[in-house]
Amino acid sequence: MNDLTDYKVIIVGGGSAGITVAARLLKESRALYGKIAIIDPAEKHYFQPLWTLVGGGVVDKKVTEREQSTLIPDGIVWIKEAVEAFFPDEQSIITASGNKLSYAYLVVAAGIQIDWHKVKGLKESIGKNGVCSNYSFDYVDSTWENIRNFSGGNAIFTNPNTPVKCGGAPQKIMYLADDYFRKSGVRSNSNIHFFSGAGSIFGVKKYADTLNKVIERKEIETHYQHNLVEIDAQQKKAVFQNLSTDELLTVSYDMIHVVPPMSAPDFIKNSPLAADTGWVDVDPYTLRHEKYGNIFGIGDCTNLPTSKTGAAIRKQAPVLVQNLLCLMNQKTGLQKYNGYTSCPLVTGYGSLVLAEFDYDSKPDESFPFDQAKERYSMYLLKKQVLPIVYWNGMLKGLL
Amino acid sequence: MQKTTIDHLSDLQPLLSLLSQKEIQNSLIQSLEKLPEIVEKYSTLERNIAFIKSTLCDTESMEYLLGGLEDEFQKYIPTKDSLEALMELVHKLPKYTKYLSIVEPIMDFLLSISRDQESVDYLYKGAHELTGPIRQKVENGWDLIQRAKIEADNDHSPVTIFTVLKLIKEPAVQRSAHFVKALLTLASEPKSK
Repeated sequence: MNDLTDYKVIIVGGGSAGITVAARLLKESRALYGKIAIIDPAEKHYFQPLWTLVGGGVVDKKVTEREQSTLIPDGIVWIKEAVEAFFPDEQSIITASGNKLSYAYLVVAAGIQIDWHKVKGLKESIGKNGVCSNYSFDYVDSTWENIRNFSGGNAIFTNPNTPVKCGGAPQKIMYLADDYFRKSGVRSNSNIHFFSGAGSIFGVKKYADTLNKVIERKEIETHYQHNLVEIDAQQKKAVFQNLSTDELLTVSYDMIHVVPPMSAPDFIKNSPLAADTGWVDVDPYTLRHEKYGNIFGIGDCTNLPTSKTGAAIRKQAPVLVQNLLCLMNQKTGLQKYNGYTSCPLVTGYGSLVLAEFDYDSKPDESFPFDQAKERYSMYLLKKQVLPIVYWNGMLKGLL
Repeated sequence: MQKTTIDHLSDLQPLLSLLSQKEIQNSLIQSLEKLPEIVEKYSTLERNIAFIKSTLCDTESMEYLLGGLEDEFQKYIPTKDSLEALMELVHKLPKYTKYLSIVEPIMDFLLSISRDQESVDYLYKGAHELTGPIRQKVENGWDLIQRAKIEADNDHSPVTIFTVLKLIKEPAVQRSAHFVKALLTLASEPKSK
């Protein structure tokens, strides 16, 4: 057991962002060996982007899960606890067991909280009787079960009116479902509906144009500005609120894939680190806290005005690390993050649109070809290459 | 005037006073216990110094030693070319360091994959799935050839002009003939121009 209570750097969260930052910090400065702590109670770590393909029946969910202990970089102290409260004026945090830990610098990488309870009837019915979701390791298999066994009727796919991790995931599974229904011969007696709390299919026009063509080709009915508020599992009915008129619309389903509402973790919302919106309040370019100069934020828990994705974290991490080291070593030359994020939009088995864009919603593409076109090569990239890049590149602070 | 015994004793008083202290007595005992070891080590050191002195004074031995060293290090004496190369290397070091810093994370990444059995298994499975249809076609084609060979070996009926005419009417033969005809036509086009 580690008896240390003082650390040079404490990282709250051992997910994609936390481990990536820890690995990069050690790579840049061996002097920090043994002086950085990651606080996270979770014993398992997941490569969540692959859950779309798990739900689509392409990948076994076991390949998305690894033991957290095998991923913590050597030289990092892992404190297997949850954070209860922050005391930034005293440069300390309190864990769930009442331990007080002090830091010189704090990195908040706590991720996003899934609020299953905010949709009436959802928590009780998820994973059963036609109600499924790709947003949980425990329930992702139920998505494939529902798609595989679908014999026709109404298939509903939802997207909430809150920020979510991976903004494209709500529609990706829908396109896969359509493909599968055509293969299994049930598409002609099925209706696919997309109920989204957003105002359009995608926020970047270049990719939205392609996606609208996909929707038209696949004969999917879209309902924007409609937010799921209730599931009646007994009656197999879903209730949506029209965000423009506040009217409620009840729809029958034979299967419903739910993307639950999400928010900043409660222990952050209720802390001095949060902005009015509840997210960690950071400078959008330097990732430094707007009020507390020795605190940085990264990833889904922050108020960075970009899509919350693993790809975004991959670009945020080197900026945060360099800026933190500049601060530690009292050097100038802060780096800036441009809002880069990416969404590999699966449009069917074997096709994918690789959306990459910045804070201005301008495409910021990596490849020298039109990434708005559906491509098999990009599907292979998502399926075969990205998981390897994640486990062996990003989490090791290399890529 | 000669000192008396009392005078001698008074001279020795500080020493006696010191010797009466328990700590001093213990230290003296420890020193005496170590004395044989110290004497042995001193003797060894004395012998080694004597040997070195003798060698240094022996001209023949010195010539042999230094001559041998010269032979060994002859090949390592830097020449003008090697010194120039060294200077050039030092001059280019910033560039090479830059290249290495690009290559290094890639090499580390590849090494990490090679050591991660789960990732290797995942890649292998993916490659297997990807090449599945191609492998299946090759296997089917080979299977077809093998079966055709067996059938041909078992067919002892005579081949007549009617057999050939029947064969020409086969769609596969027709298609092949059309293909060969088209190929020959296209191949001869530049020649006719």
